[in-house]
Amino acid sequence: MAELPGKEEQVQQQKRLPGKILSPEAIASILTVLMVLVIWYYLTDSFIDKLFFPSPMDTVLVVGRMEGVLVGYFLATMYRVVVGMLAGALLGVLCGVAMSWNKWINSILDPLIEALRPIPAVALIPFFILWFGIGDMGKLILTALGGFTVMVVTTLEAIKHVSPIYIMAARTLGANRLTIYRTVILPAITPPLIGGMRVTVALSFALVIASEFMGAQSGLGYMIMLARRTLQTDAILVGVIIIGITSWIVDRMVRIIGNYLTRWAPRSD
Amino acid sequence: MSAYIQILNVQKSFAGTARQIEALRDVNLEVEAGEFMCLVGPSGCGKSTLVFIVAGLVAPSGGAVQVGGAPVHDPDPDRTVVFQGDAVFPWMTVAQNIGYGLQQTNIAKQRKEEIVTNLIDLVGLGGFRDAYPKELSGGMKKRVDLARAYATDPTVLLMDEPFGALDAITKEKMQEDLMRLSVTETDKQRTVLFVTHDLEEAIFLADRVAVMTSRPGAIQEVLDIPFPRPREASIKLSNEFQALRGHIRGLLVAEEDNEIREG
Repeated sequence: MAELPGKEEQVQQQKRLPGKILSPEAIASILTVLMVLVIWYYLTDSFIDKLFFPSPMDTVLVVGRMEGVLVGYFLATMYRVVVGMLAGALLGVLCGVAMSWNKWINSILDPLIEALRPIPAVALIPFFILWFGIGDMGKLILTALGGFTVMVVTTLEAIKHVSPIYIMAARTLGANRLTIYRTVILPAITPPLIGGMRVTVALSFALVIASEFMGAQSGLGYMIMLARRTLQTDAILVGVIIIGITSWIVDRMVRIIGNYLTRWAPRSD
Repeated sequence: MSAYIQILNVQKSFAGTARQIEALRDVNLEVEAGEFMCLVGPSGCGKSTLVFIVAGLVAPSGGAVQVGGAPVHDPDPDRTVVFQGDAVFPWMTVAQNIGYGLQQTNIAKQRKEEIVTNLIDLVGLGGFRDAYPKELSGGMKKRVDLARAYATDPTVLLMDEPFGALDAITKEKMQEDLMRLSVTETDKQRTVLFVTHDLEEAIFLADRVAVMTSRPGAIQEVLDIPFPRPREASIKLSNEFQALRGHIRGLLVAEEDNEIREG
């Protein structure tokens, strides 16, 4: 009967485990974050001049100081990212589907897309400022262009790789071409489209910030540019952190929506 | 009265990488209405191509196929196909998959539901109506595929090595289920063309077995299988069954030898 207490202990431990919120792995991750904060605090407190990098305290304080402007700039940037990205992605998917539907549409659009594809959209920013000024329109079109290029290529590749057996099966069951596109091709290409959409999110943030650097009157990129001129490193860092967090959240949202849309797909994780 | 499926001088060649590949040469075969015909032949002899031509998925290079007196040009839900690979749509539930062909018709919604429910029960997937294929085993997916092909109540059922990828036990079970289905009132009318390289499967299921030559494929011999339906798995052990198997095997081995000598 000597083993009994030991067994009881084990049972108790097993009972306690599901109640624990943090796994040892999560604690390790949190420790990493704390370590970075501590080192940051220590370095900026002793060695590094505020002119080059702000301390954690400065960074927090500047948020309070700039609150009003910050919200306005944040919303301006988000508007450009979300609207530009969605318009470009939608157009890209529609174009890709149309090109696979009809060989004439393909022949007409393919050279245009091939000419556009290798050009980094940022290189076009000077033109866009020249044509559309420093307002929203140029930034929206630039962002849409970036998303369009990614999604049209992703869509074309994805459709090319739809297994012919599904299309044959649908044909033998009486589906016409439109029905096959709607019920077979569209669901089959959804997983790669989600991947393309995540690339588009990252690209859209980069394009909006870059175009705000080069000419704007609002937005986080504009704020960072202003702060650089006046050497306010704390404001620069706040801008960078907000962009990072928002980009992560938007990516996360795309993943959640994507997981729901592809809930049928076998997953390895 | 002419046969229900008529395959007349069908030829098929493909453009290969180096030269033209002749897959089928003058294939002639007649399948009677309500008959279960198995097609066996050496690998690469064009069995699958022939079935795809009858399905209307592939156009012949020469000759013609007629089903019920009408020439075949396009696929039709009156001639459904069960493929060798997994053709069950992974983004649809079991019920949606089985109802796919019905969805393309004008049948009343309630009637569609009835047909799907009946078929789900018939193939023994009662608890899996709303499951996605990723939750099913290979054998269960094949049952979904089978039920989907039955749903539009086709006069012709085309099967291209449907059980080829299944393990031996599952395969035997599927064959027995198919045998059980084939003697129901509605299925006695149905004409089946079933491709396989498994001779036991062919003799067990078929009314007649057509043996093909090696490439370019042609019909070498058509044999009557005399056992009455429904058949039990135990007939596979009978002398008569084994004699038929030996005969067909002899034909195929001779073909393989020919091919090696010529090729």
